[in-house]
Amino acid sequence: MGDAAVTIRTRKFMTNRLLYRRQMIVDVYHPGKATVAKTEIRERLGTMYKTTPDVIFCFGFKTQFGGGKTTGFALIYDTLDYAKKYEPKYRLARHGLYEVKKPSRKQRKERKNRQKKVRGTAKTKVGAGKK
Amino acid sequence: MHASLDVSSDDLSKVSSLFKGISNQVSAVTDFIQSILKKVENGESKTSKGISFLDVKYQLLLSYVIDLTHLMLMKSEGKKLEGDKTIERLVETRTVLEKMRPVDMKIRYQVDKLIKTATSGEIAPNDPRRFKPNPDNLVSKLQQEDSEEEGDDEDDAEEKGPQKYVPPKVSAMHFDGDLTVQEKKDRLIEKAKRRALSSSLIRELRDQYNEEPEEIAERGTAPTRRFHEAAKHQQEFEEGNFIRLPVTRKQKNLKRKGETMTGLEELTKFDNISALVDDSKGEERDTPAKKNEQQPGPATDFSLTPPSPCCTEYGPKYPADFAEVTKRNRLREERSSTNPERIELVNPKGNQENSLREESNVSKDRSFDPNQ
Repeated sequence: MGDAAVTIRTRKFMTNRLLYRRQMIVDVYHPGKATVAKTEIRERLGTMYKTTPDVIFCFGFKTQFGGGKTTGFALIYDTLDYAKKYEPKYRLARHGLYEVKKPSRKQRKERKNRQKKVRGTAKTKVGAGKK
Repeated sequence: MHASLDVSSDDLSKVSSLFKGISNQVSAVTDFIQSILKKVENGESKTSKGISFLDVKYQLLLSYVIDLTHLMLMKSEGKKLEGDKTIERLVETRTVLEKMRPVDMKIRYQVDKLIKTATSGEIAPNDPRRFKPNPDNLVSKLQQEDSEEEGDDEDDAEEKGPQKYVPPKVSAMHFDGDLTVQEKKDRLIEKAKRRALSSSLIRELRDQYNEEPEEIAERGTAPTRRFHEAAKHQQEFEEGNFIRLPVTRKQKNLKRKGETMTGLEELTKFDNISALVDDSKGEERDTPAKKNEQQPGPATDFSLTPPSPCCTEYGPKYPADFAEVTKRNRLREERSSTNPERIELVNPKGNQENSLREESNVSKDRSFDPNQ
C-alpha cells in the first residue's frame, strides 16, 4: 500500500455542476507491477482531493500494451445521496450500495417459456401469473 | 321647301310594300305584348327574381330601338342628322350591347336550364342545387360494389384518429446517379493513380532521386498504420465522452495483428502501378486491372530482360517512371532478328543488293543479317 512506484496523475479535470460531481481521467503508472486495484486508486484519489473514498467511483481501467500504464475514469460526487441518485446501478452495486433483485434462475426460465406461448403485449401479463 | 328627289316607280312600290309589312308586324307585336302584359297583371307569370342581366339587356335594346325610330323620324321629316345627340346615344348603347355579348354566352347554359325547369315544372325554378355539378356521374357504375366495401374500412381508419407516420423501410444507399459512366471511370482511375503514387515502389524511387536529406523512420505497413490511427481515434472518443466502447471480435483480432510485426508480405508483394502508365490501351479495358492479374504482354514475355535488377514482378504493365528503360526495350524488340517485321525490312523480296546495303547502312546497329 502506498508504494512510491505507483504514480497517479489526473487529466481533463472538469467540475460537472449539473450532476454535482467532479470528473477526470486517471493515469496510473505502475512499472513492474500488475494493474492496481480500484480500491487503492479510490483511496489515493480521496487523499488527493480531500474527500472520503466512498463518494469516488472509478471505472474503465485499461492497461496499455506492455504494461506499466493504466488509464481510466473517476467521478467524485459531492455527497453520497447525489451519487445514489445519479450513478448507474451497476456501479453502485460494485460498492455494495445497491442490490439487483432478480428471481432465481429456474423461475426466470419458466417465465420465459410461458412467454413463448403468447404473442405481443400479452407477454408482460403472462409473467405476472407465476404459479 | 321640297328637295328634288329622283324617285323611280320601282322604288315607290318597294317603299309602299315595306310600309305595309311594317304596319302588319307592328300590329302583331303589339297584340303579343298586350297579351303578356295581361298575364303579368293577372299574376299568371311572376316577373320578380329574374335574371337581372337579361333585364339590363332588354332595357338597352329598347332604348336603342327608340333612338333608331327617332332618327328615322327626323330623316322622314327631312331634317339633318349631323351633330345630333341621338347618334351618340346610339353608339353608346351599341358598344354596351357588344360588351354584353360574351357574358351572354357564358350564362346561356344557366338560362336554358332555368327555362327548361320553368316550362317543365319538375322542381321549383329557384332551387340552387340544380345548377351544381354531379360528381356521382363520374364514378363508373361497375365499381359500385368494391367502393362500398372499401368505404367501411376507410370509415374505421378515420375514426381511429390521425395515424402515426411510418417512414418507408428503405435502407440508405449512396446516390451516385448524377455521375455518368465516364465520370465513374475517371474516378476509379484517379483512385488507382493515388494508390499507385503512395506505393512502396514509387516511394523508393522518390527517395532515390530526391535531393532532400534522407530520413530513416520506422514505417509500419498499411494495416498497422490504419490500426494505429483507428486506435488513436477511439482513444480520443473514449476520453472525451467518459465511456469505454465495447470491443468486438474483429477489433480484438486487428489489435493482435497491429501489435505484432507482420511485414513479411511487403517483401514479396509489389503494388500495381498500371494506373500511372500513360498508354492508349488503357481505354480498351472496361474495368481497372485487378491487383494480381497477370495479363499477356511484354511483362510476361520472357524473351525480354526486366529493366530493373531487383524487381521481378511489377504488375501487368511497365511503370511510367521506367520510361527510358521501356523505350530501350521497345527499340531492342524492334531491332531483334526474331521480329518478323524487321526481317522483311532487312531482306526485301526484290533482293536488290544495293537496297540491301542501304537498308543495312540505315539501321546502324549490329542487327543480324542471315544472308551473310
